[in-house]
Amino acid sequence: MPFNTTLKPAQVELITQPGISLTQAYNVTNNGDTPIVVSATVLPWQPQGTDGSVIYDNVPPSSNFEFSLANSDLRLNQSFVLRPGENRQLVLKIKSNVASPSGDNYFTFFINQDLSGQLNSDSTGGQATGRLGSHLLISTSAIENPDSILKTTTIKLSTHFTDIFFPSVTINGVISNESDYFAKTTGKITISHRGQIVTESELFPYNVLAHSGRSLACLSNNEPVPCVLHPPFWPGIYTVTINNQSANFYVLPLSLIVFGIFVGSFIYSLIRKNKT
Amino acid sequence: MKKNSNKHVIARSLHTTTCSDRSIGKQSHARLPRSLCSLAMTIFIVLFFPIVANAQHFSSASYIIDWGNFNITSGKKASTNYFLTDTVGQNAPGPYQSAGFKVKSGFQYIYETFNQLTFAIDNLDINLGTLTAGVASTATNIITISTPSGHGYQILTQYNHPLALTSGTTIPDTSCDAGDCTPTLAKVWNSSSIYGFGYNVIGINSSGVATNIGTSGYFGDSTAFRPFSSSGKITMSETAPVKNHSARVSYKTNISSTQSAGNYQAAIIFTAVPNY
Repeated sequence: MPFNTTLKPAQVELITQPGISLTQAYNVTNNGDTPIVVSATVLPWQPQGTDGSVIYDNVPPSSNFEFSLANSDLRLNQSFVLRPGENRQLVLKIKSNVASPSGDNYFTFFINQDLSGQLNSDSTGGQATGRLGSHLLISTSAIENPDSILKTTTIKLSTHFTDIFFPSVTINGVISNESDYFAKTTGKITISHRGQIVTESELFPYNVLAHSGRSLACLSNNEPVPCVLHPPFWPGIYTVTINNQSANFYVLPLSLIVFGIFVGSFIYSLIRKNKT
Repeated sequence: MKKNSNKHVIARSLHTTTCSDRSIGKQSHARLPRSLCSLAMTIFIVLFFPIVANAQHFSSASYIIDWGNFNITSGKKASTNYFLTDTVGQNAPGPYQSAGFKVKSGFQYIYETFNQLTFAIDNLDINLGTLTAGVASTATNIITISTPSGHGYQILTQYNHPLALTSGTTIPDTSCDAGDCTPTLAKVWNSSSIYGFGYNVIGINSSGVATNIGTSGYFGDSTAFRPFSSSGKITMSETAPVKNHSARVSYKTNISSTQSAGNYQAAIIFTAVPNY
C-alpha cells in the first residue's frame, strides 16, 4: 500500500498587517491506487544553514498567528480519507493577531498520513508514513513593501590559481539578510579581466530569510545552477564581483610552459643525439 | 475610446477600398475579382483592426461565464517516440519583457512549471520477519520526490519510538561497528556481533542502481547506517528542482540471544518539504 501525494502550492509568501485574516487554498491529491487517511497541521520552523533547509525541533509555537481550516467539514488535525485519484481543496485561514510585532514568521502546512490502526503486529517491523509540507513565509508589516537589506558576505572560489585550459572555477558565496523581512537575491555575478567584463550571470532569486544567509546560485532557464566559469582563460588576474564584493583568481599558462619545456627537452635531446 | 476610433478607421477603410466585378476586371488588370477582394478585405480587417476583446462571454438567468480565451485545440499528445504539448488559437502568446518585468503569456508556459511537489513511498509495510539472534534482518522500501521549479527539497526521517513490544521491551538503536554512528552520522555496520536497529538511505536511478544522488552527504554507501531519532533528521536533500528522484531505504536489525522474543514494532515517519 503506497503513499503518493501531491500538494499545491509548494510555497506561499505573504505580507500582512497585524490583525488581518487571510485565506490560502491548498490542493492535495492522492496519486496512489489505494485510499489514504490524512490530516492537516501547521508547524513553525527556522532556517538551518544556507541551502534552504529548515528545522522543526525545539522551535517554539508562534503566538502571532492562529490557523484553522475554512472547510465546513474539516478542522486542523482532523483525519479524512482521500480516495485514489481524489483531489481535495483545503482552505487555510490565517489570522494575524493585533499585537503581532513587525517581522517574519515561517510555518509549514503539512499533510500527514494517519498512522492509527495500521501497525502490523504479525511480525517485527513497522509502518512507514509520509508527510508532505508546503512552506508559508509571512512578513508582518504596516507597509506593503518593507525594506530589506541584502549583502554579499562571502565569496569563495574553488581555486585562486588556475591554468588557461583547466580546471573550471566554481564561484560560491553567501548573501545575508540583516533586516526583519525575507527578500529575494538580486544582482549579477560579473567576471572581469584587465578591466573588461568577460561575462555576467544573473543570480537566482532565492529567498533570503530575515537575519540569515543563503548560498547563491546562478540563473539559467529559470532554474538555479552552480556558478561555474569554464576555461579557456587568458593569462592574468580575473576579478569576480557580486554586489560590490569581489575576489580574484589568477590564470597562469602552466600547461603551455610544461608543453614548451617538454618540446624543448625533446628537441635538445635530438640535437645532442645528432652531435654525438 | 479606442474601440470607437478603431470602428471609425474601419468604416473609412471600407469606403476607400474598391472592389470590382469580373466584367470590370476584364477592363482593368489592376483590379481584383469581387470575391477575392472581399476575402482580402476580411483578412485585412481581422488582422489589423481588432475592435472587440477576444474573450468569450456566456450568460443565463443564473450564471455568467467569462472565458479569457477560446482555443481551437490544446493538450498533451504522445506516440511511441514523441511527446507533444500544444495550444492552437490562443491570443498573444509569448514572452514579453521590459525593465523590471517579464511576462510569459500563454498556456504553453504551464509546462515550464509542470513539476509539482509530490512525495511517494512505494511500500508502507516494513516487514523484518522473525528475528534470529546474530543474524541481521532487513527490509527495504523506496521513496520518490519531485519538486516544482525553483525549489530543492529535504526529506527528514524519524521514528515514533524504538522497535518495541507492547510490554515496553525495546531493541536498542544501533551504534554501528565502531560505536560511533549517531542519528546524524552514518558509519559502517557489518558486524554480526553489533546489535540494534538502524537504517541506510541510498539514492538510486530509475533502474534501481545506486547513484547516491541526494544521499551522499548523509550516507557514504550502502554499508553506512544510522540509528533513528524521535526528531526528524535530514536523510536526503538537493538544492535544485528534481523530477522523480528516488532513494532506497534499508532497515536493519540484529538482536542478541538475550533479546526477548516477540514482534517488535515502530512507526517510521518520512517528512518531505521543499527548500524555501
